[in-house]
Amino acid sequence: MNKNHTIDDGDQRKHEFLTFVLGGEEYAIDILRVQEIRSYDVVTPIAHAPEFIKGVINLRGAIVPIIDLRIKFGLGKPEYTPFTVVVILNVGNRVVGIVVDAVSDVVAVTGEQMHPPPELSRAVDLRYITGLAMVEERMLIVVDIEGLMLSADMALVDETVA
Amino acid sequence: MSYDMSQFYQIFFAEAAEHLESMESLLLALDHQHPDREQLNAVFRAAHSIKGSAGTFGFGDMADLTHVLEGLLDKVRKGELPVGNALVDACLEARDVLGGQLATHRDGAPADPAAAAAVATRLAALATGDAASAIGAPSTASADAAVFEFVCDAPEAGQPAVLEMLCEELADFGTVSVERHATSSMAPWRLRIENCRDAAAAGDVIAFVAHDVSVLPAGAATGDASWGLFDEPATLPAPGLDDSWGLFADEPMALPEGAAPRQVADDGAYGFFTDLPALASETSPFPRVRQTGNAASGESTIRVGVDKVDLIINQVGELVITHAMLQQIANALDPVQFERLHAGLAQLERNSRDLQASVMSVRMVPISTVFHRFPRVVRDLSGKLGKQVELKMSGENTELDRGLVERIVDPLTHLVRNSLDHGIEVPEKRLAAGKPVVGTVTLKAYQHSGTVVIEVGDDGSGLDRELILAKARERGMVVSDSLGDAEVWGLIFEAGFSTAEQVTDVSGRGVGMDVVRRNITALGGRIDIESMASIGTRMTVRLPLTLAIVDGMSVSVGSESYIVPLGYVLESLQPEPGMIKRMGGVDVLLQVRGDYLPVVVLHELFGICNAETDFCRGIMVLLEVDGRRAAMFVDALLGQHQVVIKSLETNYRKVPGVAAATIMGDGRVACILDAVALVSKADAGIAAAA
Repeated sequence: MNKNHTIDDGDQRKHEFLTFVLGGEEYAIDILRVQEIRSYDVVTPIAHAPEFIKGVINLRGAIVPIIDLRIKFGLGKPEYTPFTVVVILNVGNRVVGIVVDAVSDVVAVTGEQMHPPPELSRAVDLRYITGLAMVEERMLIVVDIEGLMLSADMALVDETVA
Repeated sequence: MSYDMSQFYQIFFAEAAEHLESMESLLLALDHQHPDREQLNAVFRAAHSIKGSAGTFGFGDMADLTHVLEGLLDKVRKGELPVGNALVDACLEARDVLGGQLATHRDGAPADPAAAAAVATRLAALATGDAASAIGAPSTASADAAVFEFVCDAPEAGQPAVLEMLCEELADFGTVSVERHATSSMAPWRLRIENCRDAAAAGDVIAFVAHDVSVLPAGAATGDASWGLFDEPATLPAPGLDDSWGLFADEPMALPEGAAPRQVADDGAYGFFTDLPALASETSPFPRVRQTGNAASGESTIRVGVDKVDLIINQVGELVITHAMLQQIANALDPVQFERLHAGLAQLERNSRDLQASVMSVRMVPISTVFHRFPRVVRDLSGKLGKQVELKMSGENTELDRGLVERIVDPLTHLVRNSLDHGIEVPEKRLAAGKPVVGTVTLKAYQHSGTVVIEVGDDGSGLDRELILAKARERGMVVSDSLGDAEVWGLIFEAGFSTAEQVTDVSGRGVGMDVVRRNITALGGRIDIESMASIGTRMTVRLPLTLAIVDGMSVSVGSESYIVPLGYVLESLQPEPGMIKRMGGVDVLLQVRGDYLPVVVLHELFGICNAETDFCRGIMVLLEVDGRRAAMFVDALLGQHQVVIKSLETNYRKVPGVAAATIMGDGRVACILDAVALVSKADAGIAAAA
């Protein structure tokens, strides 16, 4: 598990998270991994890529793969409207984009508000769920986005590298 | 010194490598009978620069060796030693050892202290050979020689009596000889003491009557004291300057105010390093330049990391794309109403194109950076092979991409070695054939319609057609005598093919030409051979100007567009129904002028829907890679572009069948097809079915 996300119960320091919506569920990722947020634009599909990898875009001269987390997590309908949002992430010296339904806000979470994840999860490997955060009646699923993006089943990285 | 020196190491490595290179080329260019003074000085300066900075950075081994080398070179340039083959060989060897030491410090490659010691001994022996015979002392003498330079304090300076006195005093330390007699009170004197027992004590004696005493490197290895002094020039000239100032104030015959300090300063710095009056103007800036850590040449260049240049190229590429986007929007606007907008955009286009061209040119380096190593290769090899070879080079200023330069070195070296080993005959054979004894290898580079052409030619025996054919049969290849010359020559590119009758350590293991061709193809280039029996052989390598840009043909498949590197495209055609053959019900073959080519159906391979499935309504693009051909089925041809190559792997992974990506004029990403992989795949598919 990524050390940035390891929050023990006694930790009073606040960590900031970007929250977004995937099919009605609210997820949170470390704000330090987020490079920018932009609207969904045409992607160039890549041959032999898994379904959740939509393709690549040109981000100011860099070729950046775009992943639809809704397909990956099996949540919601993967619709692409002018309001569909792409969160560009910086993970492990790579730049990747994730498609989400909507970006909500940035919240600060203390160690006290974090709870261990329940032992049931369908599509998301529990290894990449840091925990559940209860913030003002909202339940946020805190994801170790770096670990998830670099994991082998995301097929983003060559096997030799991963 | 508390701050971290490691940040300067890279600069030192780059500089030292440059100095070593220039040293080598200068050494090779030396005329042995009438050595050019300038060239000798340049070699000396290169050694000296390396020594200085190596000492500063704490690379003692390099400093020690260059110190010995410098001593030797110093004698040579003073005319005390003749230039000869032995000398050049020893210097070249020293240069190689230094290169090895440099690599050790840079990459942690294993060092060979024994080699350094051996070459140092050799250099010292060369240097002392002269000194020993001159004064009849044992050959170790010069190791203990010390040269003192000083400005005499005594008012009667310049009078012989003072000097005599001093010599008498110093005679206790060793054999004293006067190297330079000061003609006026402010000029430095120079004394040489052979077999100096105690340089420091001798220095003290001199200091009694003089100031600004410095110990100069004498011939070969001098003591640590002198070396340390030499290494830190900044500490000495300063007090010397001050003192002489004081001296000057008292001097009744003082020079005009303005001129005096300058002359002293010049003298101090210059005398400190060398003693060649003729070179005063040239050597005086030397220490200063070294102190600022700059190259001695004084060129107005800056060192910039390649990543920075690449970043700029990237950003300029973006600018061009942004312009294209704006242009597209503007095209929809009324040209009369928005006349100024159109004019502005036209100007923006010109400017950004110019900017792109200038930025690309930053990455370009002259091919001399590759060529400069060949004189050495030819010299070493011809000696080893017992052949006489002259190397002629032209077009060294032809520019090509920096990335290409690095990767063309090995293939070219191989071609040159081949020319020497297989091409040029031994002198007896050449005489018998009525050719000049000295063979000629030519290296020629020029730009030709968007490509860089490099020719490696020789006036040797040419390729032996019969021998190649025989070898091919021996290796089980199906060849016929009716093959055209070009096809026969092409056989030598097959893996493991060698016609050398005996394997030498130069070439002949047959692991060469196939690698050469593969490397050149990987760079997007190609290689052709022309050869005539007993006239010679010419290998022509054609390379793209840059690695960052490729000429591509864009094709559409379904709603996608792909780029095919133009270098692999033979032709495109729309097939007639009769040309399509099926094999085993699955694989498709295309019959073109009697040949059956495997077909890669791109939309099937990449799983693209709503693509054209009727072969007769799409286009077949014929590809050729390494002599193997295949057809690729696409929907339509879109056009021909120069595209900027972008790596897919930076943020994603390798995709089978795709070499890289690029950004099209509309800002969208398009994949560049991997023609090599596609053709191999088509071949393999057919082989599996058959």
